[in-house]
Amino acid sequence: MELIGLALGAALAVGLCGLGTGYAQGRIGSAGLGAMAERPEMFASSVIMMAIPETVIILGFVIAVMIMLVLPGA
Amino acid sequence: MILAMARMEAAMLKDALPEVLSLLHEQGVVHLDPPRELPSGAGSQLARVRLSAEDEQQRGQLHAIVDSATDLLGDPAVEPDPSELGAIERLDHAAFSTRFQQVSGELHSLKQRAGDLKEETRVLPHYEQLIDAFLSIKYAFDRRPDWAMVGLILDRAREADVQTLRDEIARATRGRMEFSAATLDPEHLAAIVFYDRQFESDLERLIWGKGVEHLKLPGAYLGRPLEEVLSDITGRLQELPGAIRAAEEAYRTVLDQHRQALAAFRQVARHRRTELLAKSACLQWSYAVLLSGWVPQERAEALQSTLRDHFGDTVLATFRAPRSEELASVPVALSNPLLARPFELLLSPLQTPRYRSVDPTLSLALFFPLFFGVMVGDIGHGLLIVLGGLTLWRWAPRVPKAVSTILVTMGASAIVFGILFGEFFGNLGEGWLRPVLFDRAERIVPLLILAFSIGIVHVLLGFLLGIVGALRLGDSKRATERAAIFGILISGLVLLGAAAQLLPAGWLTPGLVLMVAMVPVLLYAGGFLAVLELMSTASHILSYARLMALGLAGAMLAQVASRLGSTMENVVLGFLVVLPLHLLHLVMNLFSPTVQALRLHYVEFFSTFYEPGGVPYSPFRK
Repeated sequence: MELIGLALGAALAVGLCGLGTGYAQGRIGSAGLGAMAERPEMFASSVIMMAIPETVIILGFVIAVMIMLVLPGA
Repeated sequence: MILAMARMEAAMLKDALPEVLSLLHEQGVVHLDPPRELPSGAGSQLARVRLSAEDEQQRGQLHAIVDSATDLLGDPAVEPDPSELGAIERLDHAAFSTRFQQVSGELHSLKQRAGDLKEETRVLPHYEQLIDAFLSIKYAFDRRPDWAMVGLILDRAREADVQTLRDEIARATRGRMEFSAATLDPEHLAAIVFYDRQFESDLERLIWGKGVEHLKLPGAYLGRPLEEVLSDITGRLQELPGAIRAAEEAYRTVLDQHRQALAAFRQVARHRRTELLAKSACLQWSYAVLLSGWVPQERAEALQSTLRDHFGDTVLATFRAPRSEELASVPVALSNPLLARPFELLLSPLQTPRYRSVDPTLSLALFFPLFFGVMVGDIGHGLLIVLGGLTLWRWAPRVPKAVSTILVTMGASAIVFGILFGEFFGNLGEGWLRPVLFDRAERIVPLLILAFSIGIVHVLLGFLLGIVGALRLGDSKRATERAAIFGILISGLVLLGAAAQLLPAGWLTPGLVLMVAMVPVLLYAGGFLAVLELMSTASHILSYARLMALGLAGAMLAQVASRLGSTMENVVLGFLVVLPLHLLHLVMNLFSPTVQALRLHYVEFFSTFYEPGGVPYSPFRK
């Protein structure tokens, strides 16, 4: 039962964060591509902008890893 | 480091201006910048230099020469031969233009010929199909020399409009026409219209207004039997590829003879055009001209000496430090040690830093490879990245050397951290390679602590640079605000350390006192918004967890790839499985950590001190 809870928690941490990040990056990516179509020099800025929402999924991943690997041993 | 600049102001007689501009163009250190406000006492006589009619004409001709040479050369990177360049530079404008016309004239006609032949290749197959389609209904047509023929291409989807079009054409030509339509291909109908030439303009207007694509037979085929035209077109289509090859070969042969000359013409035309335009960056009054700009302080004395040697007392040049009201317009030139210089490339997506603010290149050179190394942390991948960088350096001359240098540095850092974490293509080194620090895949909390520690050091460094930068810009309140945040962060760390018993308990009180003392300072210097900045700083530090996240994910992926291969009984099969997985992982390991390392700098680090809005240094040079 405990394992199910841990797994569910980790899955929710990564999954929900992934949904949020995916939604944000989808909007940013399409706007970035539109900008690059008119100004190709916007490529570098667009890639950097795409990386900004990744904080959410990265922190979600960190939480999931800690739930699965650190908590059981605590 | 941002170079100190000196304001140059040079006064001279108008006649001397072209020669002075030519010399400055050759020297290539002056960033031209006319005064924003007129010097006192100048009155209404001082005005920007206007190009004369002759200058404007020359500018237009030079512009046309640059465009024409670029069009003929194709490759923008062709460098002219120095001897050719020297000879062309000595020509005056009239001789320059004449000589260019002589060189380019033959090339333009050859290029035009090849273009016409290619257009024929594109157009004739349509006629071939059209005529082929209508030979079966040729009874509808007479040989009428005073009539013309036009082919129309219609969408099959608009088949219902064909009758309407026919009726409208009949009205436009007063019924003196023959119209037939037939299927050309699954998507198009072909309509052929014979009409009395006197209604040509009415018909053209109608077809243009309807937006119908139309084709006219070339003049050579008009008034001839369709079978003969079809036979001629078929024969012509067979000849055209050979004719095109011959025309292109002739063009290439002549181009090879004149390539260096064309490149020289283009370069000289660009330089002369730039020098002409530079005149309008000067101020004039009566018979004198004032030329202003910025020069790196270290080059000012040499430039003054050069001007004196060339022009004596006829050009009076002074150099001074920028005034406080001019600081916003002083151009920014970076000067960094050799090893750090390639990392200036990483600043290119951002706005230029303000003059006298902090140049982040050195910290980029130190921390960017560090972050990359922590995230990749694999000896094998590091070796491949170094190899890739060296390959680019040696075999790809068009790739900036800075890119190769940065890649080699990133790879070297990945190797160092691969040794620290004991990883070689994941766990391929299991058994003979032991981690010097710890195994990333097993020691997650230490990895997270390492990531946060790097983040804390990085952000604190950012605030220190922010204090220095604010003081340089004369913004003491901003410096105080950043110092207060710095103090609060330090006190927070001390309190955490004391609470976790990493520091002596006696540090608790001083830490608390420091924090309490800094809060009112922060509120005074930055207001309540500064409290928000403090909170965002905490989230910035948390953001460095990505060093751990990507590092762990990378280590796991590499292990999965290696283990998959080791499960294969056949060594060759195992290698074939492992290789593409590791290559894919390498691509991901190159792209994602690079972007994340850059993001950590651009967002978390630069937000603490970087002052954008500077003017890029753009010297007037060849």
